[in-house]
Amino acid sequence: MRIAGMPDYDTKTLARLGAQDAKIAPVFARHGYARIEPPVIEPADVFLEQSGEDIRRRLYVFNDPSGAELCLRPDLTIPACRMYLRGAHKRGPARLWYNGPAFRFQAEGEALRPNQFLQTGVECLGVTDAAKADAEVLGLTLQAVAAAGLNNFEVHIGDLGLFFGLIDKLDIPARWRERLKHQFWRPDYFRTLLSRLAKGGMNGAQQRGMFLASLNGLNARQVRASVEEMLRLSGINSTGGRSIDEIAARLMQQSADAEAGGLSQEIIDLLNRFFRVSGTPEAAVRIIRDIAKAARVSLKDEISVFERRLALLRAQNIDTSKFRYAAQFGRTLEYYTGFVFELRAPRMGEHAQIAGGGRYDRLLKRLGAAREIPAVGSAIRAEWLLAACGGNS
Amino acid sequence: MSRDKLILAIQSKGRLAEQTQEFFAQSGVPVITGAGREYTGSIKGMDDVDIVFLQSGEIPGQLESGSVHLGITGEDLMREKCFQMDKNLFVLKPLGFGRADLVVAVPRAWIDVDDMADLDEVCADFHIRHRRRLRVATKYLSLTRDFFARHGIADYRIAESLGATEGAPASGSAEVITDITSTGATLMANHLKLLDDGLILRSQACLAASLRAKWGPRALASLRRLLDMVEGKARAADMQVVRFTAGRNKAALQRVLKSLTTSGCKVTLEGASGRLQCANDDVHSVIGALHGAGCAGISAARAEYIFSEHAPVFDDFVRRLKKS
Repeated sequence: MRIAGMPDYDTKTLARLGAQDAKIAPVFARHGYARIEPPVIEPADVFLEQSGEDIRRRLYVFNDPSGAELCLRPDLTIPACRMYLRGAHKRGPARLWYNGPAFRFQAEGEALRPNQFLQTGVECLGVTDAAKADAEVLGLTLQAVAAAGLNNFEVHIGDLGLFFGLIDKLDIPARWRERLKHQFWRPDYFRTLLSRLAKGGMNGAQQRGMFLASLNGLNARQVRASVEEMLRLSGINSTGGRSIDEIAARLMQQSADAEAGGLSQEIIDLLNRFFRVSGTPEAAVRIIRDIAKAARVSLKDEISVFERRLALLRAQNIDTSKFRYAAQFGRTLEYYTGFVFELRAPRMGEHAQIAGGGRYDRLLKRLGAAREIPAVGSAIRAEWLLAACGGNS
Repeated sequence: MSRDKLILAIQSKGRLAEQTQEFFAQSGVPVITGAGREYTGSIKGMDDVDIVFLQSGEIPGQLESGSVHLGITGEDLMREKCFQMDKNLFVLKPLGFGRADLVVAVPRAWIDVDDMADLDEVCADFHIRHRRRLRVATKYLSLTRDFFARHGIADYRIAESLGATEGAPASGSAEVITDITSTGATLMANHLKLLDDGLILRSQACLAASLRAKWGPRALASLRRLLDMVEGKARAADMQVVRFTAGRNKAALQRVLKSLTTSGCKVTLEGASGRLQCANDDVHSVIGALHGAGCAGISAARAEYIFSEHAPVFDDFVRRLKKS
């Protein structure tokens, strides 16, 4: 019996994919990218820890005979990064590319997508000039799809740096900032959160109003003591994985926030205006500058990175005025930290998203690097690119 | 098993298995365990029904694949184990037993956490402080994942629990749990507390039909009969049959019967002797009204079954079956 969604690569398809690979490979090589092939099988834990539980429904998880929990890689960025961290490049910048299968389970009745597909991708690791590396990776992706013969597509871009920068500069409690940043990828919940914060935070915190008020003005040691006292009175002697200091610290923050009141309408309007920004990058950046100015918030650094990136792309003879920027656009992967982009061929319908990528500066440290290593990458869906090019060799 | 029999899967052991057997016995269709065979059985008086005894966890899958026509197990298990429950299963009846709530619980020591919004903040904070995600121990991976997603929580890891989930925080294998609770006493004993908005699912045992099974005319007829018995018994438990003999004042009786009919009683009058069905709670007022209209020989009794010529649940199922 055939497993739904598992592709048969016949001789003809293999020849076409091979021919496409042969056109793209020289583009990557010319820019100093070295070809690698990370393992197809990886520990399941790594993907669940990095990408969150939502990836589980897409993950082929299984046990090897020794009992270790493994999975088929759902994409190649994490395996490539892990290979980099194991390798000789450890200390220096590396430019890597790959072309190999990835596996993501698609439930029957969902959009008709294959469970196994080829990713042709690049990862630019350890290059400290972010704007330059961003422009290099998008430029390279555009050249690669052009070499394959695709000329009718849209380029969508976003920049989480602008959003994070804006949030960081708002005069609101630090923990609210973290929550807002955290919910960027979930626009529906982001709106719920805004209205909750407008009412002065959470229901739970309101219930604790009296206790929080009693903590007001106490120092950290006194708060800790009063938490300990409360636990003792309730006969609780285990804190279940969080220390008393952790609990006390959060209560202190809440006590301070309770004094500060709710999120102001001014800030909510500011965020709503920001999220509505879309259009050409050049026009968008003007509007964002105006929004920031009106709110007396400086986004100078973030905007200059954005503009320098555009300038570096234009220097590669790329017409950036054809790009479509949207403040809401962040792709769905939470590990992105800055520039993000997608190439779409709208006439391909369900299979429109030919390529995509972005900056993920925190991932390598989370995977075990001693410090944060700047990183940006991109991946092309090889079969969809082939289809978008009309399947011709 | 012969062709076109109705195959009904019920749990082979545990409290829910006992309650299921009790339920069928009370409905007058007792389950008989197959002679010498532990895994199959039948229903007394219904030769066209075969029973298979399965582990609770297997029933949703067997319903979804269509290898059984009917199954009884907890809604929690059906929602958790079915891949596409709404597409492949049709819940005929919640059965009123096996009630249990699936809830989110955190250590009682977390006096700064009362609701899911608090938990969201703690998850994010925990990830930063401990450099790993907060772990949620559960047997209900998919229900938990969906519930957390609805509350915008992404910064956590599921630690699949095989045994006593409520012990996970104390043993250090997870910080938070989601689990079935019927009383909350187990949570207290393990120093855990419910979150205010942490109710994931209010579950009870359900009779569900597979939309994927082959439903021949005999299987459908058996389902109709089985539902008639179950519903007839349930109806009889809620109602009484009142018998009476009409007095001389026909007009007064007609007025009373008319008003009883509009308030939902089913009235039959043949010559002077009549009977009506009314709800248990109404029986005193009905008898009073009949007395008032000069009736004699009034008696009230429970029926074993009260059948109806309508079978709305069955009809809904057949309509749905035709569509899928």
